[in-house]
Amino acid sequence: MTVTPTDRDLQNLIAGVVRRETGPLTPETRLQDALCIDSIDVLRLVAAAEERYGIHIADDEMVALRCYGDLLSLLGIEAGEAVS
Amino acid sequence: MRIGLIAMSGVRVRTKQLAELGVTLPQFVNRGAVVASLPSLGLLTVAALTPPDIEVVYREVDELPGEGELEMFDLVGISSFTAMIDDAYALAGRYRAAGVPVVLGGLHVTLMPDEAAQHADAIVTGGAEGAWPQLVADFRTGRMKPRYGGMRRDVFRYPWYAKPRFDLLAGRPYNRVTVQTSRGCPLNCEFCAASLRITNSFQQKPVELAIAEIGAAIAQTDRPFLELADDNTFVNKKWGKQFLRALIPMNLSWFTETDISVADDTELLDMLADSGCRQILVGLESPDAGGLAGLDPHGWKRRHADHYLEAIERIQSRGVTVNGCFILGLDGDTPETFGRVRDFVAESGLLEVQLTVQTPFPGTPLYDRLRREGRLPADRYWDRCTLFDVNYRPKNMSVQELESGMRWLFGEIYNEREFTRRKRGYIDILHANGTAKRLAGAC
Repeated sequence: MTVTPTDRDLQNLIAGVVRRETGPLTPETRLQDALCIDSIDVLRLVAAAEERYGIHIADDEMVALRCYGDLLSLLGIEAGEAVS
Repeated sequence: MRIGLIAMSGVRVRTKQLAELGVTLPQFVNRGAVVASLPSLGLLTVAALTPPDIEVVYREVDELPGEGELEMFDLVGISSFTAMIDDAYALAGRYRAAGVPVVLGGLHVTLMPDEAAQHADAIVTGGAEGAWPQLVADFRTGRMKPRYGGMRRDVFRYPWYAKPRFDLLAGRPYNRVTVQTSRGCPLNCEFCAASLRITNSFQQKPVELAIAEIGAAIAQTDRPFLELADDNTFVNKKWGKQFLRALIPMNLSWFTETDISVADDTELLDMLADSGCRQILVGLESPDAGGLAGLDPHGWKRRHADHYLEAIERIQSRGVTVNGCFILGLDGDTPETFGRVRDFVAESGLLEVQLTVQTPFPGTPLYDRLRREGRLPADRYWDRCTLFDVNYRPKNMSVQELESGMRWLFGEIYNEREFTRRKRGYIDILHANGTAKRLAGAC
């Protein structure tokens, strides 16, 4: 069963993938540097997001992922807002 | 008393065309860049072996003052490896000219002690355990000898063992923390210039010591990605399972180097995944069993080569990626080998690939054999031991064919399209094995 993406849910998803609290994320938060995660964990995050939200992230979008805001844009949500 | 411990690391590819490729294909130097950015565990161990009443300062080459300036100490210890050894000798010369005694140690010094001794007041061969405490005691009484030999066995047992001074790393922006759980490797490949050259036999750290070190190391950083600084972590599967059982609750992501036999143990593979292992680096060396002939004394790798594809699939199906390493220019290689490596990588689904050229590091069995066969240059080539520059005459092709074949293969393997394809292959595995579903439901 897929879930409707929200900022809060996405932050929880990231915390689950990296297996620790990440603190509040802003669109500018750089996934690897600020979250201190390996490039392989970014791929695991992509897989988890695809599964949870029932989407397919295109390869060119996957390799362009740098910041939390990139993920928000991919999912079509604004920071701090839920999308119905 | 104040002792300065200086780590000289990092390599610079010398061949112009390859250096240019490094700019356009950053994947090809990624692993080298990671290695160069790791702290020197050897010197952190030396620090731990230093009596507590002595101040120890740990420095890396990038932290040294500019040309013409020296940070002054009562004694300096420098550790380096072959590609940087001339820089280490130059720095040693500057300190000695300023009246500061210098001790040299590390792998290159162990393999080339007579050469190193010309540039130092004392050298340490082998590990620091069993040598450094005596050296410091002798230095204090003005009786430091020119050579000290470290322990080559029992280095992880008291009274020789010392937990590295990870506290000296506090505040430094490392991408990874490193801990060594073993020293040496029983495969004994002829080209290897790693830790097996400073041990008489494979040494495994007791699980409780390894776990305690990991705890101490990750406490110094907010970047808890762990790299085991081993050459073959899972030689002993029983030890491996005990270690992983203790590692699982630590909730880490981690990396190590080991051999392909981990694929034969499904329980171990499951535990690797459960403990957060993100990647194992495996020396496959060649996709052709024939190309592996003579590489290790017992033909271990040659016997396993026919099962490489199946083994990689089994490991990666757990979500643990394999960084497959190939050595180009082996004696069994021909100009056709480059295409076979490309095809193997495409078929295998390897997420990451490390391509290097066979490198006769001085003091290794490979160096001795090629020297006997008249296949080494007359001139000293230590600064070209970068793993990318060709320093010998290949058996079944010319130097030019090897260099151009490498450049072609780098382009085939490291281009963005191929790397993206391999990344998508990994994501597909995570969907297929249920990892994506588990991660998606974990929040």
